[in-house]
Amino acid sequence: MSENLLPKGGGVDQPSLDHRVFLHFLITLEKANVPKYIFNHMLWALKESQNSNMSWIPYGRLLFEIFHQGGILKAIKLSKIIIDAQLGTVTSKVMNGCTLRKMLLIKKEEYTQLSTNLLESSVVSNLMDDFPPFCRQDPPDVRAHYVYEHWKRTGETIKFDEIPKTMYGGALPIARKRKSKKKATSEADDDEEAFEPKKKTKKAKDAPQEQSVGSEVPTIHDEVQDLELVKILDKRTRSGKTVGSSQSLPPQPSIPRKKSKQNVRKLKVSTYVREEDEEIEASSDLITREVKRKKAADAAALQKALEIAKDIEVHAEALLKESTVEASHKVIELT
Amino acid sequence: MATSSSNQETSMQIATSEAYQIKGRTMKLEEWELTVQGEYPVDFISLAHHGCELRNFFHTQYLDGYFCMLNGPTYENLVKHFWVRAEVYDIHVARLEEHEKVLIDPTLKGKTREQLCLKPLTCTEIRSSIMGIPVSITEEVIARACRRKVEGSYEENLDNKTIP
Repeated sequence: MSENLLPKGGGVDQPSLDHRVFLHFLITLEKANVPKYIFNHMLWALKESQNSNMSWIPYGRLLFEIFHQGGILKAIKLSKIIIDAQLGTVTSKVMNGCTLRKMLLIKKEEYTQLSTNLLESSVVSNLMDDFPPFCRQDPPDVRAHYVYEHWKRTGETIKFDEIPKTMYGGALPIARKRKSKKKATSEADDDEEAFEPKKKTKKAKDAPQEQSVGSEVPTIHDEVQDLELVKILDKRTRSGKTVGSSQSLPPQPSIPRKKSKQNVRKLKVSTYVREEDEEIEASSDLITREVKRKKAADAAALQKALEIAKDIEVHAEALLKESTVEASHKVIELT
Repeated sequence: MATSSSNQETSMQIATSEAYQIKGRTMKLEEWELTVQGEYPVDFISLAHHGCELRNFFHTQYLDGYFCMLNGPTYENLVKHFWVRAEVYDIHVARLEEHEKVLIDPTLKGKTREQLCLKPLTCTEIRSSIMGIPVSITEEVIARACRRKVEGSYEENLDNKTIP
């Protein structure tokens, strides 16, 4: 106890004269000038450190309290350069009945833990307040769970801005996993949508490069409509036959059908994505920004895919028409 | 050199009370060699429950506030930062300061501290700085941190370690 007021390094078996005098004041209930004792002890300790390299700093907590009252902590907090770990935060042990037990003053059985037992607190420090143990790189459900737990415990909500972007010390392994997964899936989606069209576009591009003149026969048009378009297309492209292009033809009814097919597929995907988005949104408000970003990305991807599809369809149209032209030629030849 | 710097220091402090100052180290010890002795928070209720009633003793010394204050965090690095830059500013140092002034300018001999552009010495201080912010600790400051007044009996200089 006296160590608290007049601390000194080393053992307590040889109390200094000041200690004894102080204890005398304490026991006789005579009012002592405690601040003066503390200050003089501090002066003595400082001189000892300067002259004889004494490595003990007394009154750690008291000094800190003085800094705190002086507003230094506020200044540090405002500067936002230093984090808690750099300041070396410590809380010391609490002296209670447990100490008495250890000092063998009371028996082990006599010791009882009270509900009023003092707990180590860190209330004074504002820098330590509610440091969230997660970051924006965590999966959304994890973040939502943390926020919910925090709200349950303290009744306070953590805003999205309050969540640190990254954990101190680098990215989380989980986050990395998640990210890569996300990327992979999105890429896969893109691929699913874009892979087939790309092939077709290549083939379609090849066709107009080698332009051969073909005649327009609108009358045979209706006949060819019944033919299986895809088969013909495949045949034509695989055999590498060149066909004439005709771009001024009116749109054929078969093409919208194909288009709608593709559209349906994409719409399905998009609705699924939206549903997922909605679920996430409902789970936590924090992720809305990210979700929006995701949505935007999805929308952009969709539009791209649609554009590509349009291109293909135009070319496919051309090919179709070319095929009809050839068929008509053949018919003419046969006749 | 020292006087000129101290002169600047004081003039700066007069001009703006919150001027930053860079202080040199005052001891050979490095910060990592120091150990901070944290005070132990005392749970008087638990002690009393186990037959060790001490509240009365400390209540008469008006130390309730002090023991309340003890339960909290300590930023050790800040304390160490403070400690290696701390210097005692007492009557000896003040006299030395005056003497140096007079040595530089002999016409100043016999003048008061105010005339020498020095801060008046009211009591012994521990002066230091934390990240450029000047900090001075006096009995009054400690008393405020303990939430009590500077009063009561004090046995002066019993084992010759206290400063007159």
